[in-house]
Amino acid sequence: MLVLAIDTSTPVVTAGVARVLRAHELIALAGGGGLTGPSSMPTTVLAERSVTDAFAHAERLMPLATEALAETGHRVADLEAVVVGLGPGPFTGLRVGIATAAALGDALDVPVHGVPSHDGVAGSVVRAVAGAVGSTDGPLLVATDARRREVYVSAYAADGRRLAGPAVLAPAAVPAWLDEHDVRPAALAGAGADLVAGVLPLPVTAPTRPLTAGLVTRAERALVTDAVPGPLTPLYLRRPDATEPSATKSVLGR
Amino acid sequence: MSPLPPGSIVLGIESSCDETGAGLVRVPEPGGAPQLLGHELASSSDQHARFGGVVPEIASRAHLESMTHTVRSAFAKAGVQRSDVSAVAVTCGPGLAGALLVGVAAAKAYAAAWDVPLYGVNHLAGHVAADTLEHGPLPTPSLALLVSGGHTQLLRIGDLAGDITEIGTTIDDAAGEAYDKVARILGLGYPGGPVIDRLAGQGDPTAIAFPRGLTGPRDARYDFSFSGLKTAVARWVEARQRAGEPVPVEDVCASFQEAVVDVLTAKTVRAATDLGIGTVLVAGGVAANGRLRALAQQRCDAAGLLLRVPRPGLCTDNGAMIAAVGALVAASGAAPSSPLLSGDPGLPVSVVHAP
Ligand SMILES: [Zn+2]
Repeated sequence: MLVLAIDTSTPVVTAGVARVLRAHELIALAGGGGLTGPSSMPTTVLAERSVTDAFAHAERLMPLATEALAETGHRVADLEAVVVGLGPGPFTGLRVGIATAAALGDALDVPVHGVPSHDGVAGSVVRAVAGAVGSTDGPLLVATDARRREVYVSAYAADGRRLAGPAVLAPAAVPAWLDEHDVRPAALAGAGADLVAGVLPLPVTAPTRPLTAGLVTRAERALVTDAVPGPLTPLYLRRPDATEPSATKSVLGR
Repeated sequence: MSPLPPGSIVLGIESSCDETGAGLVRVPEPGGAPQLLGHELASSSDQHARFGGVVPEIASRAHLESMTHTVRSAFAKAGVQRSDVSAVAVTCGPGLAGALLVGVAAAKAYAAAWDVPLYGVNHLAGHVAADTLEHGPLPTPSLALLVSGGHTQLLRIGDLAGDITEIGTTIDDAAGEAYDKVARILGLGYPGGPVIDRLAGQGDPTAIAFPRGLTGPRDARYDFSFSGLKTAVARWVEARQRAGEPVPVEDVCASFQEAVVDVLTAKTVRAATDLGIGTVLVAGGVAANGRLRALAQQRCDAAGLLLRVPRPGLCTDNGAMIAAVGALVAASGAAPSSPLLSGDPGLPVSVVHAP
């Protein structure tokens, strides 16, 4: 199954292509004596493109996806599923990825699975997939920049299960939040790791952003079982800024 | 790029403000007008009501929620298949930055998935093109008065596919914005246009002499200003309230509305006459206003000008008008937009389609 992974929850725009083996393909592979090493996992990352530009998500995403597909010898029309990071992240950029994924799914009539973007970070750390880049012996805290002197945080068990979050907090409130959820992380990951390192002096492991491997492995089970995707609801975690005006006051500016 | 042949189908996507629109049109024969096949609209207007104006973040969230449903529904209404689409057009500006990007991202994905060209087009050209869906091709040149919550402009239309020049514009508030603010002063809710138009019908338009902005002999001939009018209404109402007297809401609405449409129509007729243009078009959300339509008709008749106004359903933002611009641009043989297309909140009206 040819899968496109998209994430626009951070200043990094990511598009990657992965092959996910269905159950019968895995069995065939095992029967042929091929069940060793990373290829025994259902997900293999074939190509990935990313660019760091906080203000160019809409501009760059589709060209990156097309390039990554071209590298694998495929076209957009060949896609069989899409996986997209649902955030949390700055709203405008985040929506670009989700709008793109939803439209691709609608245009091609293929399933689109949303996963929390922090899962895409954690999934690359704690799980031995082809393309795993970090490691930890214990629970992991993923943190990203939420601006306004806050961070988005999610906590994971050593086996990759999400234990708490995502939540939006001031860095100083993170230790109490971890206590509340009874999590003792052994490492930090994500682009906001340095923002919590001051209150939580722990080793920082890669990666800083959701990777194709992490995103797709999180959706692996849903993909191979042809599960009906849930709604692609962005993880905004904050209400829109809006204030209700009073009558003449706001008009006359007094 | 060779021109898209007549009969080809174009999908248009609109998300520049608070309406999510998708529309399908057919590319015309040379010199003809695009044919409307069907369109669908989802509005977040209700969600903005208690804030007295469009809240950009709320609009952007609503666009994302409605986009694919709206596109699917447009196809169902038009009775065409996805595989019939030969090009995708999308509003790339002007408009709210975050809102525009939802439509642009979706349109880029649809175009890439179907492997068809993508045209980023100007929202303002779309309002003008909406009229061609109903009344056929525009004579060359034509003069368009574009009035809505976001824009108040006089445009000379040489060619809808590429030659649009701004003759005049508002130097402060848009006309629709003035309606919303006066409605707020009078406690009439949001949006202000329809309710003020209705109450004005029961009031005396000569009851209060509100100022006509930029109509002095030395003022810019074709530009507009509504900020002073809005302030004048606020001060008049406030003075009444302070004196403990009742506010004659119908008379305030009628007098305010008369001040707005008087200036709009007078400057439009003046520009058409000065420039020797025989056809005048009124478009945009405020073009649905009854008094504006009536006074424009009266003054165009008196000046010997032909007036065209699209039906109200095509005056508000919609996807069909964007598909119509896309169809005309594609039929002209213009190159599709770059794969690096993005939104441009300040896209000038002279840029009908983004390179
Ligand atoms: Zn508009």
